[in-house]
Amino acid sequence: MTALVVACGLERTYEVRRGLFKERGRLRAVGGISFALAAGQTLAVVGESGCGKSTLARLITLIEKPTAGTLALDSVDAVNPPAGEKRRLRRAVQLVSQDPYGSLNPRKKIGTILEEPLAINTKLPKRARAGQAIEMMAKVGLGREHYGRYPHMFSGGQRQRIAIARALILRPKLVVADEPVSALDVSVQAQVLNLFMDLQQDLGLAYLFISHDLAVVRHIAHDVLVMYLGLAMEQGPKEKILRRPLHPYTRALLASTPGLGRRSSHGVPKGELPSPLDPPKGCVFSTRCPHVGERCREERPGARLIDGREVACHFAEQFL
Amino acid sequence: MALLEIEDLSVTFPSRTTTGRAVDRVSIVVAEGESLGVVGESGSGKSLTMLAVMGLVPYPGQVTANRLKFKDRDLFRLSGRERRQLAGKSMAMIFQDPMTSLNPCFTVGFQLVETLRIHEKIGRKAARQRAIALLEQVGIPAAESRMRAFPHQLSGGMNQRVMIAMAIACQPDLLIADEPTTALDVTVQAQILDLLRSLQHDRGMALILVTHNMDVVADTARRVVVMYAGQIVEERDTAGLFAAPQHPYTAALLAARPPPYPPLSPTLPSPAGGEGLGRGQGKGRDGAESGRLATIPGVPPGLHDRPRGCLFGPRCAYATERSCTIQPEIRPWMGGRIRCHYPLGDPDRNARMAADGLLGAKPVP
Repeated sequence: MTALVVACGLERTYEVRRGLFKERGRLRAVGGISFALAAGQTLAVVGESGCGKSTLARLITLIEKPTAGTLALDSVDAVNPPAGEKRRLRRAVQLVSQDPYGSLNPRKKIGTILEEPLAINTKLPKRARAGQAIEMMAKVGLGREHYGRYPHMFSGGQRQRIAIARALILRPKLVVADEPVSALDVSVQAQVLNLFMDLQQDLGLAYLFISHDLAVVRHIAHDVLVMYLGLAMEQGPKEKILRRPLHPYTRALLASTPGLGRRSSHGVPKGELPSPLDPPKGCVFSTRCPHVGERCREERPGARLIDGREVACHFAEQFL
Repeated sequence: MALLEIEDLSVTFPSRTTTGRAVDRVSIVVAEGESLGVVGESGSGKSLTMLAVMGLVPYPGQVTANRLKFKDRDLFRLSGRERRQLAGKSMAMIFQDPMTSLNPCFTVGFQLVETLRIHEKIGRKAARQRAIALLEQVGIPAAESRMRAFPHQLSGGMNQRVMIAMAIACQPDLLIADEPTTALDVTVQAQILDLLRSLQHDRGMALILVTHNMDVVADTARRVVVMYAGQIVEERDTAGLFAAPQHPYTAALLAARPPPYPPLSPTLPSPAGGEGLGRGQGKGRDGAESGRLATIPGVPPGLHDRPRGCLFGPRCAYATERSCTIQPEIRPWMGGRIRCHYPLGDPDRNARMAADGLLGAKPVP
């Protein structure tokens, strides 16, 4: 089976003005990410804020064009799609955003919100659109009576269900979820995560699931991609990475995750993310890495295949 | 000795027709040098309780209590001026969002020095020296130059450190941290929690950590208070609460979390065959493809639609007809306190539930 999404060396740089007479800076938000994602699978992207995960989401959802690299959706070139294909591709990829309070138009009823994608993308008559909207609402656990209500009448968890319904109404193949549960309370978070997993089984969806919560990632993902300053630090099957992380940054993330007596304070990295405008010369994590060596500061490590996953670290073998 | 005594504290918001009780008869005692965690979902009244202690409840909220004592001084008897002298000096609070709690128009140095000059009545030069020392203490590199930085020039973690420096500037006896790490990344969160813990340890300061994150509490607090819809539902030492929660709500909250990881040991024992490490609950996608999280049906009640009887009753799997009519009172239970007719550790709860007519909550899709 060929993968639904194939990204190869995806890169996105922005030009940043630093002052009137200064040279323009180049900010590399995403610097060469490659992955393949098959239907029915979930790839989780993990990293701190500023690591480029949301930019990656914007590239995959075709909101922005990559400055380098290729992206194929359904075996069709998505960077420069053939004529007439662009609309179809955009329908195949949908986004669920983080904030269920900001992503729904407060002036529109739920029914209108759900039918809008159909009105734009299909030639269905009004009645058929309403039927599909109600059907989709039932799928995400909302009742028929919610059809005529406004977003402010719903709780955070229900709004996220509405956002999911809107993403699914065009029957996409890939859903990009950008921190979809981080704004929700724990008890509601579990409901929405279950919904994500049920829908994946029913509809065979592929998820690109962006999260900073490793416990959530462990629950929902098949594959994990750990990003830092726009680069992939470690990527591969979840079992491999979360059971025995080989990159110091993955280990630092795990060590920082709280839990009853689980956290060891010596594994927590010092300092904060360096400026992406001025990344370290060698390994991007070298400024915070507890295991840094001379070579790390000079030479940027490439991805190497070790123990079933790709690791970008010179000294990954020490954790084997 | 008790540092802070709260007895039957209520915060009400009167409206034209009804009175919403956002905090309902909450009693908490904090000893000197103790670390207490307060957990609950949004709207559970955990932050409002702490605002009431600080005297910061916004209009039109009304605070009532049988007793609200800090260091044996009745907070209700104090004048506004005296209370303001107390707040910020002997008891200090850190808020969730460091970006909005610092004034964007002034440098962080100015804001720190201001706190010191008002409460400690020391000169400008001395205050500046103290401020630099404080910034160094909370782990801000190049503290002297950072004194001139405006909040927008610092990262979220750095701003939270400035907030902590400001809070501990006058050697408070009690530090209230309201979701101090929610807006921060995990690695920075771990740093801030470590900092709070070491400060509490070194200075003998009492710490109240308000959060919605069970894992953060497990890591930081010795004793936990669980709140739901404005009431305390359970109080217990941390290890006991996580090992054997007594209230159905606490148990459900703990079950709703995806299970945590096995700890990373520095020696890294070889995992045999993949499975077996971890807690092996069969959750997640390790084993069954359809691993589901336990959920709590429904949503917490709003301020004006509190149910009759037990507030958790409509969502509780063990609710009986008695739960729906009689609200359980909070009572001592297994070394802590609980607000439930049928605590999970009660040996004859099944018989009593059956006798009272078990209803159970209807599952929601």
